Amino acid sequence: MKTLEQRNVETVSDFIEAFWNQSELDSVDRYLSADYQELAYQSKEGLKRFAATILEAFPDKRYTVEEIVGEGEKVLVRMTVQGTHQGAFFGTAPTGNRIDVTLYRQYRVVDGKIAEHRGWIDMVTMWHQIRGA
Amino acid sequence: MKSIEQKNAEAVTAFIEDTANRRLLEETEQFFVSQFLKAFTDRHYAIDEILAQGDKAIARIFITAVHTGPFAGHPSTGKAVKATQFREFHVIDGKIAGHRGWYDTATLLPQIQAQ
Repeated sequence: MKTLEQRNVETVSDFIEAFWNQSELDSVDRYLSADYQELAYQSKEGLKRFAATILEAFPDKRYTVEEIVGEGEKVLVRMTVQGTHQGAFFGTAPTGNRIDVTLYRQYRVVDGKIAEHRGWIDMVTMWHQIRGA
Repeated sequence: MKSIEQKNAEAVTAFIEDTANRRLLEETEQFFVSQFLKAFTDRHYAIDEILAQGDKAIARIFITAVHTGPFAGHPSTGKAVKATQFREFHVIDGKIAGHRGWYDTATLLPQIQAQ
């Protein structure tokens, strides 16, 4: 029998794989709750728009979960995103440079649905890699 | 009776709040860390949240500082800034067996960019 935390960790891992790696943007309808609170990208639609922007800039992007901790309703994930800068990214023309950046995401899972998300990313390292400085 | 997670969160809290550990809590593997520590002075640390599961505990630490030196191509602004650090701990038998830290820079950069 799985604990609540194990089930929540699985839900978040499955969502990350479907949404961020397989780029099934409509998987939000399966994984996110009706009253989903998006604290990083304004809204569910904002989240989808951001994922589409990233996909255009880094078509080979790959997210890897490196650490995941569940406590009660909360799930905290450390992951990396790797990819090649092949499309415009916030006004910067494609450089062909590789990125390998760490980010954290924190989710709240209620009754098997993701009800809240916020995120943190190391943009200084990301811009440093994009510019190849 | 406290859970192992509650005890580990307490051990992590005590470790972070012990000023003798301050230098340890400032280091990360990010390439810019020495510049970060020179650019942001008068640093104060507060624990925002700790999440624990098994022998793992991750603290989100809230830092306030003043931007007094160049950072990531941005000259000093003299502004008060807020930054977030995550620090992951491995706790065994109530002792910190290892830890690693990481600064969020996505929320930091907009605070020091010219408007």
